[in-house]
Amino acid sequence: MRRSADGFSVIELTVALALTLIVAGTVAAIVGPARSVFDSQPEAIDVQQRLRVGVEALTRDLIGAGAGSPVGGRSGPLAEVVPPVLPFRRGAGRSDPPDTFRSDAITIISVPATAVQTTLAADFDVGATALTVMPTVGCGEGVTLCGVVPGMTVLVSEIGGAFDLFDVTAVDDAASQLTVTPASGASAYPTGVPVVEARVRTYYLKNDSVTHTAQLMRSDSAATGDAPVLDHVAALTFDYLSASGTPIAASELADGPWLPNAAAASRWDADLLRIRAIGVTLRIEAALAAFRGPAGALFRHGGVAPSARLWVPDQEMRFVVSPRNLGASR
Amino acid sequence: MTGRFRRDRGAALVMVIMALALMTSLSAALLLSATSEVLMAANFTSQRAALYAADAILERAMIDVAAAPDWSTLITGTTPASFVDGPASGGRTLADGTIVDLGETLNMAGCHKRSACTDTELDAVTADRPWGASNPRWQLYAYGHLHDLLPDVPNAVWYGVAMVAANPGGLDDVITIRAEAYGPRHAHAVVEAVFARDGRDSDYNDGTPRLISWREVR
Repeated sequence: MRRSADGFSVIELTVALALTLIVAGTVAAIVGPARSVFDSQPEAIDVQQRLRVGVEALTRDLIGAGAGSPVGGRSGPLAEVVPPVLPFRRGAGRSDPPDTFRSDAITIISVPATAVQTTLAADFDVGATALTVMPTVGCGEGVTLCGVVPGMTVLVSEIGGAFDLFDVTAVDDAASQLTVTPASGASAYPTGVPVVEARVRTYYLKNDSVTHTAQLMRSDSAATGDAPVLDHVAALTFDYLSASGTPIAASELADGPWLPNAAAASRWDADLLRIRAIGVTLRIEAALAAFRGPAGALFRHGGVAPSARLWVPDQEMRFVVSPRNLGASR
Repeated sequence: MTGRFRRDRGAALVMVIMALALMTSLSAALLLSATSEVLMAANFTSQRAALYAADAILERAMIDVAAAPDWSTLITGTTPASFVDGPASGGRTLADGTIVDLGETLNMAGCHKRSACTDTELDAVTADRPWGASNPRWQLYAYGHLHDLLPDVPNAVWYGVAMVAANPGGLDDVITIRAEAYGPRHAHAVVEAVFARDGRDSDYNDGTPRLISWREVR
């Protein structure tokens, strides 16, 4: 086998060189796009995950809107006396004016299954800061207001449409008295009116004018403050449907007739009780501008992606939730 | 073969092993990422489906509750629903081999443990059972595979259990229904609903049992 030590022939060298060039060229052609995919796919997954989290959070809260008081006070569906879904921010803390309609905000009210379901034991006057209530059910010996703790939100409502939300700041168990933060424009309530723990949750879009980004925010009570749920939300829109499935115009939900009356500071539009389903449109965008292309159909906010291979388009989902407690058939 | 070439022998094997290790680790990372995403999506889907399955068994139980003339016999367990798949005890096997034990389901609802609950445990004040001695004493009411309930629905692989209890506030003609659904990937969802019968003080009564509250138990 001496020939193998004589070196390579020109033909052998040419074939080897051609093969090497073909392989190298193929690898080079694949590496570029592959690298783009490796760079952009984690961002695409993140967009999907955030969309999933947003859909889950909104669906879970919306589906239970309007759960009423099952035990004490005046048990019954919440929608008999209170609009469970409001197209604006309403709570014991900061509230929008009553004749507001915001397509990017929603407040959801329900009564949780707790022992804090009772009635007023004494009249509550305008400007008062204490609610005197009847003992609650299921408390241990020597305890009359089991379950009531500072920071809790309680709902006081009356047939006829007046309702107010109060943050409890102190509990005097012996006197069956709750010290509350006076709600702006709160009504007066007579003895016997239901007082129940309320779960009041507002979702809204918070725009940052400096970074031109938006967050989906959640607000539970004045005590807990607002918390971000999702970053880089490109759009959030709520719309409302009646029992027949037809859309309810925004103007219909903020033009009266008003309950309990047009002069009440905490009035609300009676058409809110027509809401049977809520449509939600949620659009999420890539967090980094390096993965966004020019503003247009694919991108609500333009980015600086140098190549279409790096684009991670916005993901948008529209879904409709029919809160079980607002079901017309039940 | 000179001495220098002899020293190089075996280098190819090392290089091949190193290249193989690199490619294997890259493949494993890619596979793990892809698999975990698929599993997350599947679990998410199962969990959402479990909620709707629980709502389905709740609706089915409500049909029998609405037709029952005396709810007190439901609460005592004297009158079971028409949708039952055997005695109110023992295990039921799901399509994936998971066993749902009706007795354990009842105990978990009453005191968060698999064995039988004592009266003290049932009366204990907890976050989800805050009424002490008035806490619900659940009674099995309707239970069965959802494919028996929904034969036309493909992949109705869920098992549903509905329980009933008296109202903690002692209100007459008010009944609480707790519905649970079990499914693939250990998916489990619980909903509770309170219904009131006609005749109670309300402007909204229309002659049929009406829903007072529906909530998902998390």
